[in-house]
Amino acid sequence: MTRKAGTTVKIHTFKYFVRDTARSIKRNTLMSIASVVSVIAALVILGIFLVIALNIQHMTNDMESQLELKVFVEKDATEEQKDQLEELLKADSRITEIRFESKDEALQKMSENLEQYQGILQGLEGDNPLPESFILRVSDAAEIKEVSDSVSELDGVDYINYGEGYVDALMKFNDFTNMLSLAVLLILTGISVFIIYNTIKLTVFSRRKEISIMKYVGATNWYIRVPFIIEGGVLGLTGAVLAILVVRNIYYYLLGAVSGQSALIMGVSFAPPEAVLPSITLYFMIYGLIVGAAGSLFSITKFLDV
Amino acid sequence: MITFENVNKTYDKTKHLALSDINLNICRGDFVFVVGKSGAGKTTLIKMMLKELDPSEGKIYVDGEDITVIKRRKVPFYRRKVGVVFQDYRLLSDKTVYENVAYAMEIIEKKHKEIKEKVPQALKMVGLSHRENYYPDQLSGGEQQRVSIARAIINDPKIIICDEPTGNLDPKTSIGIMKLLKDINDRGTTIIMATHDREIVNHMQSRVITLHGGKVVGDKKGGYDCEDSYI
Ligand SMILES: Nc1ncnc2c1ncn2[C@@H]1O[C@H](COP(=O)(O)OP(=O)(O)O)[C@@H](O)[C@H]1O
Ligand SMILES: [Mg+2]
Repeated sequence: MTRKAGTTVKIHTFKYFVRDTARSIKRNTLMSIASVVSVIAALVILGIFLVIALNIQHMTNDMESQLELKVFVEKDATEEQKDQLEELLKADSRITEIRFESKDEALQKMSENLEQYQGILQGLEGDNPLPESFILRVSDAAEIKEVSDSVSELDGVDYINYGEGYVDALMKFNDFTNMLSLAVLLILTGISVFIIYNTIKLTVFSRRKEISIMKYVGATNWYIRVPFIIEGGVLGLTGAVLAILVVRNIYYYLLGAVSGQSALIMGVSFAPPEAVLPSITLYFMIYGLIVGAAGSLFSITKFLDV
Repeated sequence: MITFENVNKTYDKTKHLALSDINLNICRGDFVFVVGKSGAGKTTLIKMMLKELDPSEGKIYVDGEDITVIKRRKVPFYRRKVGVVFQDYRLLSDKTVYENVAYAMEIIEKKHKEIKEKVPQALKMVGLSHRENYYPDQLSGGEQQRVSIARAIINDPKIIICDEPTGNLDPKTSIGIMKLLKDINDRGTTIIMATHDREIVNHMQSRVITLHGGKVVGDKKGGYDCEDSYI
């Protein structure tokens, strides 16, 4: 057989698969709907959880990025020493932002924060006792302690302040939520795979007679499986797309409901939908396709023994 | 064409000895009945020829090939060489008459053009050209059985195996089906048919293998006469 003839046969075979899949979905309407609904139910629960997890991540990232180290310069440091210190800080790749705060700026800030003492502070303007400082931001909040330790060794550094307890608590919370998200994600994925697999098993079970007939006529296991796998994938994907729409609407609804009080805890905000929905959409579509197809593949296998 | 050598079959679950010491030789072009009352072992014998069951002991050769050692993966390829007809027709309910017959060609990746040519021929042969686009549940029992026969012959197998093909049909319809099978046999196809329909066997005057309690108790040409206790 020439290559060309071989290819034409394959295209026809594929057309038969598509035809059989479309027909079987239509003929088994009730079972198809049941499969799609089980995918939607599983994914909506998963989706709501994912939205929550992504939001917690978004918020902790928000908080982390606002963390600052305040490096106080020794009182008697020379201009030269300060320049040198700044150069060294600039050279450190872990540090993303450096801002110098002069004595005057420090006083200004203080008087803004402590309005009721403005009178007393005004008296200090001539002889300002506040130290100069560099305010640093780091790329990764987990490195904040390391950065602090190494910077404190540098020449001209008096001491460093970065709210140690707060950072530790935040980091622990972050680790905890990441672990929890992963665990819940795995469990929910497992449960939804189980639900979907069982629904598909029912679908396949209702057609075991058909499968045995195909075997008697001499169809190979793969030939029998392929339309079922395509069908499972199509149903899984359909369920996924519908679940995405549901989750999306729920999310927009919730955002709308809280938009009045958007100034939430410590100024952190909800993740914008554009940040959350695309990754969920992609994850769901892949998930629906794979779980649907694999569910069919596994559940059909036991009916192939004829 | 088909040879059974010292075949025993015990069902694993029940330890029931369904067939014992079967030695048979069926020649190319034969029309052979396998008769015996219910529970005699006819279906068990048929299932072993279809490689749906394997014998507990002994060998079965079909067209020169020892089918007891065929690998699982190769079973579909063996089945394509054997046409099969059942009592309950076993048609795909979501396919039309035409598609049911075409399916047997599609799975072996026959070309579209060839399918379009051969399926109408087969349907004409079984007298169902006018029912091409009907679904199985729109047909009578006799018509459904004709479709399943068309499907059995579509890939020109050397052997057709039937398990009580007239079991669900009235006598008049059964005669029509037997005529059709005889026509197919006359074109050179070996046919093995399990039945307990005395009328049909007597009418055909062909080779008759009689089973009783899992043993071959008769093997001769003619009618379903023998002793009444075997029927
Ligand atoms: N799957 C099975 N498991 C156990 N015993 C079986 C099974 N199928 C058939 N038998 C037994 O084997 C014997 C022969 O059955 P079968 O071949 O179906 O007979 P027939 O087709 O002649 O009526 C019967 O006694 C029957 O009970
Ligand atoms: Mg039987």
